[in-house]
Amino acid sequence: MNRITGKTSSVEEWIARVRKMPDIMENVTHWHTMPAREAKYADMPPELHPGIREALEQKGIRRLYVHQREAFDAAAAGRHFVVVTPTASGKTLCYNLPVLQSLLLDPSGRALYLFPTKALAQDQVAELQELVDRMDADLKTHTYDGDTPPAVRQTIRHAGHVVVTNPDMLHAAILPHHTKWVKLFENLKFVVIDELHSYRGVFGSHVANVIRRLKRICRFYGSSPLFLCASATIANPKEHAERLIGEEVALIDNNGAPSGEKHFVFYNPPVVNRQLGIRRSSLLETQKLAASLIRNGIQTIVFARSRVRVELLLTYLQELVKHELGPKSIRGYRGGYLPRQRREIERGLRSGEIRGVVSTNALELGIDIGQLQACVMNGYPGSIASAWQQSGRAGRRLESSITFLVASSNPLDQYIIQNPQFFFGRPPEEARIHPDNLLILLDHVKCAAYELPFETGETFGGEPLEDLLEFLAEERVLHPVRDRWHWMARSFPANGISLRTAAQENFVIIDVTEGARVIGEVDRFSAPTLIHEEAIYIHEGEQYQVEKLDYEEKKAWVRRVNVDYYTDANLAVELSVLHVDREREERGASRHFGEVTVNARPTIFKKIRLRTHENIGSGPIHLPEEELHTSAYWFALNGDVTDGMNPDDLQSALLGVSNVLVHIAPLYLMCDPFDIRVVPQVKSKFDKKPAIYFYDRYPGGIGLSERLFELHGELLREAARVIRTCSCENGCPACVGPADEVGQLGKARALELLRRLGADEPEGGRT
Amino acid sequence: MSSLQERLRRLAGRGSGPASGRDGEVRAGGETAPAVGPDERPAGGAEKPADGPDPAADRRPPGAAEALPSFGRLEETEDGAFIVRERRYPLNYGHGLYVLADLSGRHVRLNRVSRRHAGIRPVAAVQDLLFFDAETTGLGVGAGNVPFLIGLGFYEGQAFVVRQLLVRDPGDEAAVLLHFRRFVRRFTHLVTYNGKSFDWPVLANRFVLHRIPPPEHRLEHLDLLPMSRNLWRRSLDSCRLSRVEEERLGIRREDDVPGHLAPVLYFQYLEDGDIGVLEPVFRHNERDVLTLAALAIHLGAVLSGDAEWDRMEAEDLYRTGMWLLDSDLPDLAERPFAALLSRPEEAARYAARLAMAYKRMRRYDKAVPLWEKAAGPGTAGPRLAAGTESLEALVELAIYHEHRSGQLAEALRWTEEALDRVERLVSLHARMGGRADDARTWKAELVRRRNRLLGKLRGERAGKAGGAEPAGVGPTAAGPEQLELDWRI
Repeated sequence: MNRITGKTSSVEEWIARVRKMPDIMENVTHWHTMPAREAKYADMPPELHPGIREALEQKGIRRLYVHQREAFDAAAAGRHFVVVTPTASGKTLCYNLPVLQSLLLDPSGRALYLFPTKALAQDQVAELQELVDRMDADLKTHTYDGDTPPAVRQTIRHAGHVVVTNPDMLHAAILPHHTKWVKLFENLKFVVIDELHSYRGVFGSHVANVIRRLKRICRFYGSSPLFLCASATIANPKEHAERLIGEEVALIDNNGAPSGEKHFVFYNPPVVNRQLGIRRSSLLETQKLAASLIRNGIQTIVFARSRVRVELLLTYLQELVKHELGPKSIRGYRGGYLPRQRREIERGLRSGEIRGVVSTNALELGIDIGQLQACVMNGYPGSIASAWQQSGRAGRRLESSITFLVASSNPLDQYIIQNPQFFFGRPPEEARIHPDNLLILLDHVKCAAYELPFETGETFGGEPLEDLLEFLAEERVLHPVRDRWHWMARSFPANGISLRTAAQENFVIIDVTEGARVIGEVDRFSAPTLIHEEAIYIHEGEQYQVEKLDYEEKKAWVRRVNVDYYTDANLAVELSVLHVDREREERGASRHFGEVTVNARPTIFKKIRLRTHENIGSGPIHLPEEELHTSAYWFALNGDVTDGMNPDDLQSALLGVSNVLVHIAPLYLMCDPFDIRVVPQVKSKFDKKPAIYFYDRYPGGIGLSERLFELHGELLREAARVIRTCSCENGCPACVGPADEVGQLGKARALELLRRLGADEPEGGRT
Repeated sequence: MSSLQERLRRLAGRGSGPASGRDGEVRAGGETAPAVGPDERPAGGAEKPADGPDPAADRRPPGAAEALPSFGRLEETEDGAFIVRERRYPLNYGHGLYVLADLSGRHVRLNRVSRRHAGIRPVAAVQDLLFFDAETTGLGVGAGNVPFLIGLGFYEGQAFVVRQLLVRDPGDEAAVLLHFRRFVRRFTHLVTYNGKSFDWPVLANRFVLHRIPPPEHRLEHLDLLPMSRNLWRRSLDSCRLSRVEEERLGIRREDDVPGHLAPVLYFQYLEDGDIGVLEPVFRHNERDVLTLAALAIHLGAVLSGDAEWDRMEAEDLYRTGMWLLDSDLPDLAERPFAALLSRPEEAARYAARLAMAYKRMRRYDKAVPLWEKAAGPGTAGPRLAAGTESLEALVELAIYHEHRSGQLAEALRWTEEALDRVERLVSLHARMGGRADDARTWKAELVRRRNRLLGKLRGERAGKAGGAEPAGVGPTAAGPEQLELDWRI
C-alpha cells in the first residue's frame, strides 16, 4: 500500500495487469525484459583514510561496489580513468573517494570539477560538502560560475580545495586569468569530468581544446593532474575520454551496483488512417499510460521533447488526477524554471511527495531526484544513449521498473519502434569529437597564445602547430620573437568564442507579437531556408511568420500566426570537391572522403497546405549565396550499376536512397540530424558520375562524414533493410519519402539500386 | 607555403595566396625575419644616443632596422635590454593650476585618499611617492595583456623625474620587470589612477607569467580614482583622467594621441621596428604621469584643508565637504561647506543637504537656519510639488525643537505646517493619479507626532499648574539618535 494514495503500489502487480490488457498490448511492438542484478561488493581499500571510512559508515556504507573500488585503485596507481556505469550506481563516489583521500593526506592539493551545467555543479558541491562535513575536515568546496559574487571569487581562487565549475567558465574566466589562480594550478592534483558523454560534437571538440589549454597551463605551473572521468553509457567511452583529454585512460565498467528487474516497452500508437499512414497522437497515448501509472501510486517520470509538449502533458495529467491527488503532486520540469523552483521539485521527487514529473531532457543529466518507478518517453529522444539515460531514471534496487517508449509519427521514431533490434541489438552511439577541426583548433590556439606565449617545438592538437602560428602571425595577432610567439592584439580572444554554438554567427529570432522577445536562434547555414521573409517558422509547436530578415544584423522579426500551410524553400546547392583525402573501390561504386565547398543559394519558397500537401503558392527569396568549406563523404556509381536506368529512374532512386540515409546516418553518429546533410547528384561535377554526398554542416567539418565513409557498407545495408521491411506500399516519410516526392516507383527503384550495390543481401558479408 | 595554411585561408575566407596586409601595407618578403638568438647580438651599444640604425636591434625585419629613439637610451642588463626615456622637470614647472613643488606639505595626508585608510602609513616625504601609469596592449586584466610602456614619476633632488620603460620586444619583458622590481625599493607609496583594478593587476600578471617574484616590500597603493570619482561623478560626464585634468586641473593637451591608439602604434612598431611611431605614446604617457602628480597635489590640498575653495564650483564644494565628512574629517569638511555658504544664491539649492551635513557634525547652529530656509517661506510654499525636501526640513525642525531645544510649541508649529504640506501633497497625488503611499506614511507619522506633542504640552501645562517639574521633556529625555529616528519608524 502506498501511504499517500492508499493504492496498491507494486509495480510488479501493475505490470502483470497491463500484460493482460489487449487494448494496450496490441500496440506494443516489443517488450524487453532485463533480469534483476545482484550487487557485487569489494572491501574498503585498506589505506582509505579513517575519516572517510567513518563518514561513509555514518551513511551506512561499509563496503564499496566493485567499480568504486576499481576506480579508487586506479587513481591510487596514478592512472587516468573513465567510469561507465548506469544511473544510480554510485558513480560520484568513484571520483570523490580518491580526491578526498588525497586532500586529507595533503591539504595543499587542489581539485577541479567540471560539469556541463551549473545545476549539476551545485548538486555536486552539496553532496561532496555533506561528506566533508561528516568528517569534520577543513576542506572547502566551491562552485565558481557566472553567479559567483565577485567578493567570494578571490577567496575561492586562493582557498578553495575543490573548485566546481563548467567548461565555459574554465574557457573564458579561469584560463585567461590563470595568473590569479596560481594556488590552484600549482597544486592541481585532480581534474574530474563528469557527464563525459555530453561533451560530443562541436561542443565536445571545443571542450577537448579547452582541456589542451588547461594541461598547458598546468605544465607551466609544474602540475600534472590526474583526470577522473565518468560517463553515461556510450559505445566508445575509453576512446572518447582519451580523445577528450589526450591521455591514456583506464576503463572502469564492471558495474557492481544491484538493480531490480527492468522492462522496456515499445509502444506504437494505433493507426487511425491506414491510407495516409496517420497514427493516433503520441501525446494522448503518453498521457493515458502515465495517468494509469500515477493513479496506481507508481512514481513516474514523463519525458517530452519540447517545452510545449511538457506543458501540454502536464496540464492533461494534472486535470486527470486532480480529484485523486493534489495539484502539487504532478509537476513540470524544464529549462526556464527558476533554480529555486527546480530545487523544490527535485526535493519533492526524492521525498516521494511528488508522484509524477513531466520533463524535457533537462532531467536526463545526473541531477539527483532519487530513483523513480516508471518512465514514459513521449517520442524517441534522438539517440540510443539518451533513451537509456532517460530510462535509467526509473529503477530501484530491489523493485521492478518499467519504461515505455511511445513513438511519434516522425520517421526516426517509426524506424526505431519498428526495428527494436536496432535499439537493443547494438551498443549505444559513439560520442564523436573532432578537436582538430581547423577553425575550432585555431580559435583555441589564439586563446592559448593569449594565456602563454607559444614556444617553438611546442605541440597543441594534431595539426602542425607552427603552420597555425605562422598563419596567426600573418593575421597580425601573434608576434614572433626568437623562439616564442606572443599574443599581440588588443582583443580578449576567449570573449568571441563560444563553446556551445555550432556556427559562430547565429541569427536571432525575435517575436514581435507582443513587445519584442527573443525566442530562438538559427545558425547561419539554416537561415536562408528557415527564416527568409514570409517563411512560416515553427517554434515549440507555434507558427510564426517571418516579417523581416535583417541579413547584415542577423536578426529575424517574426509574428505569431495561425495558418494552414507551411513553407518549404528550394535551395540550389552546388557542391564542388576541393581535395580527395581517402578513396576506396566498392562493388559498383567508389567511396570517397575529402574536402568540399558547398554553395547554397535559396531560390524560391513554396507554401504547402498542411495534411494535403498541395502547393498553394510560391514566392522568390532574395538572399546572398552562402559558402561553406567542409569535409564530405560521397559514393559515386559506376556505369554497370546504372545500366538500363533512365535519368528519371535514376533520379528517383538516388532521391529515395538519400532520404533513407539521412534518417539513418544520425543514428550511427550520435549527432543532431541537422549536423549532417545529404545531396544526391545525377551527374556530379566531380567525375560526371551519379553520386550521393554527405557533408558536415560545420565549417571545416567535425568528423561526421569521415565516420560515415568508414561505415559505408553497413549504412547501405541498413538502408536496404529499412526500405524492404517498411510496411508502406510505395514510399512513406519513414522510408524513401512520400510517393509524390520520389514518384510511384521510388521505393522499388531505390531498393533496386541498393541491390545492385550489393547492399540488399542477407545479414553478414561485411565490406 | 603549407597546404594547412592554404586550408586555413580558405576556411577563414581569405582566398588563397598570402594574406593581404592591413590597409594594403606590403611587408618585405611577406615573411617574418628569422629569429636571432641573443648571443648573436653584437656587444656594446649601451647608452648610445644613436641616430640611424642600431646594430643591437638585429631582430627586426630586414630593411626596417630599429632606430633608438632620439629621446631615449638603451639599457642593457644581464636579463635583457629595454629602452629608457627620462625627463627631469624643475619643481617650478607648471602643469595646469599647480606647479610640481605644490605637493610639498600636502603629501602627508595623501594616505587618506582611500576611505579604508586605516593601516595605510602616512606619506613621510614627497620622495617616497612613486607615480605609476602603464600603457598596455589590450583591455581587461587577462594574462595576455602586456604593459609595454611603464611610466614612473618621482621627486628626486630639486626635480620631478618621469622615467619610462619600454618593452622593446616581448622577449625582453622580463628585463623590464626585474628593473621595476629593483627600482621600486626606494619608495613607500605607489600613486595611480585606477591602478588598483587595472595597471597594477596587469603588471602583477606579468610577474607571475615570468615566474619573477613580485617586488619584495609592500608598497602602499594610493589609487586616486575613487576619491576623484566621488568628487566629480556628478559634475563631469566622465571621470577619465583626460577629462579630470582638463575640467578640474586646468591642463590642456595639444596633439595628444588618444590612449586607445597606443597599442595600435606599438604593434606597428613591433612590425616595422620604427620607434619613431612611439614618440607620441611616450608623450601621452609622460603627461599622464605629470597629471597624476597634479591630481595628487589637488587632492592633497583638499585633504590638508588648504585647497583654493574659491575656485571650485558649488557642486564640487558640496561633494568635497561630504567626502571629507564621510572620511571622518569633519573639521576639514567645514571649510568647503563654509565656502559654499558664502555664495548665498548657489547655497540655496544645497540648503537641505547642507543642513543634514551640519546635523551629522552636531552643528545645529548651522543646521537650523538651513532647514528653515529649505522649509520654504510661510505656509503657502510655492515649491509644493518640488517633492519631499522641504517636508523633510519641516520634520527635522519639529524633531529638533521637540528633542533638542525643548520648545514644544515651536515643534508643534512645524509639525502642523508639515501636516498641512502633506495634506496638499496627498491631494496633489490624488489629482495627478500618482501613488500617494509615501505621503500617507508621512502623514501618519506626523499625526502621531502632533498627538504626542499635544500630550507633552498638556503635561507641561499641568506640571506648571501643579508646580512640578516638566516630565519627559527636553533634550535629555532620551538618546537623541533614538528619538530622531522615531518619526520614520
